[in-house]
Amino acid sequence: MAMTAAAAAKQQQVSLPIASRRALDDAVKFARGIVERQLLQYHRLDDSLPLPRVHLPRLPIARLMPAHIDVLADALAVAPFVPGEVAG
Amino acid sequence: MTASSPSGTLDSLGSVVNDASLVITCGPGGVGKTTTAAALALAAAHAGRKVIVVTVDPAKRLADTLGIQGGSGGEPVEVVGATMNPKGSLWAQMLDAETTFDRLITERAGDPQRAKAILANPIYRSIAGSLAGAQEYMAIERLHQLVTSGEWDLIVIDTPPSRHAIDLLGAPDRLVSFFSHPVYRVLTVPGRSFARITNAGASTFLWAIRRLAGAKVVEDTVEFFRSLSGMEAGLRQRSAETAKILRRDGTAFVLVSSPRAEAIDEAVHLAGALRTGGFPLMATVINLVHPTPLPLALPPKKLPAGPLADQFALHRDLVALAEDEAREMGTLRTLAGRVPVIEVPLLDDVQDLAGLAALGQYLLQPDE
Repeated sequence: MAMTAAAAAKQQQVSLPIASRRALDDAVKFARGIVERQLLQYHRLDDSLPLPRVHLPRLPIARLMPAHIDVLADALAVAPFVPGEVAG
Repeated sequence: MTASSPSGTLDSLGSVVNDASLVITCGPGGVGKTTTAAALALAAAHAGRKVIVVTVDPAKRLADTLGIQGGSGGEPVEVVGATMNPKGSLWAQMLDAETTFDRLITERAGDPQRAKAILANPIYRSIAGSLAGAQEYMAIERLHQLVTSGEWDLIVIDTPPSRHAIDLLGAPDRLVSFFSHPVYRVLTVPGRSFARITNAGASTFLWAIRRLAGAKVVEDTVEFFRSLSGMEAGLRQRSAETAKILRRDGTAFVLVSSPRAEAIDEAVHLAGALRTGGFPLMATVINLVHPTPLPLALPPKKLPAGPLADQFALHRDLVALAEDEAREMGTLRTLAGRVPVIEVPLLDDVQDLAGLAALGQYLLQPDE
């Protein structure tokens, strides 16, 4: 998600209206902000609790349903441990 | 649903900040309740009011910002540099169950000897901080102390998470019920009458406790409750007064939630409890709302995998999430009726006074 929508469209040889480019850039910027905040939280967690972590996928939902539990359970079954900074 | 205030009607968070004398934030855990309470308190301090925000368990960085890290010994602490308004000031206090109970016992015991006996009682020592509902009761107790001190223009109470908040609101009434309970009556029968009852084995309760826990525990328990009995009238009066304070003009409940289903479900439950109890709900704040992305033209047909396809997928997820949250919030909006509902978008972590001030401005003027 590092590139702009215009660059991504060019790479995939797709013509993209300017409104769509703006909307995609805006969405990417928002998502990047969330990831940056998460990274800060990871660092804080590592400082106070340096243990391996399991990262589960972010689900774009507000209400968890049984199908989502299945998704999380499947991810949990295969997710690798992410070592904490200190532990790692 | 509105309540009159000294200068009009508490019909927006702006009027709550300017005119209310007591604000109680309540809601599920993890939705920014304490931060919202602190932001409202800071906004009132900026408006030139002397404000205290009372909290139970703030996140570490917020506690640092408010200067109450380490518990502050249960005493109010002035938040340095909170406002440039010479008339305004912001104070913070972190509640500590044992300290509050000890203060209550000391104030209400009547004489120092009695207070000393209660404070030294092993049963009291073991339950003071951990009794079911202790946090809720101490918050209510502290609220009464602050209101009756007349020292503050505005008191902002940040309650424990919602299930406990409902307990909190019922604490004054519950305490009165406790004093009316038959077991309490048996335990506090004075002198020889008590001995006759217990010696005759009339109290199955005490017999069972003695069998389970030993005679010393029973003696301590009985002694504790008997020593409390002299305080009953005062506690009853204080509870009745607090029950009125919670419902009177100038009091405003602010319900805080996030747009996630579990938080909304709890908030809906809590809003119902507030209504049923006759508590004045003045505003609902929904924090951490994902904004709806800008609209997108139709995606190209047969877009192959690649960075652009990833961006379209991300956009689609954000739209779905915003719609999902809007659906959940609709339930609370319907229930809120005429009570203002303020949505606060997912912001950067609020870590300092500047962040609290920005959040406060957002809460008071969400459309600007």
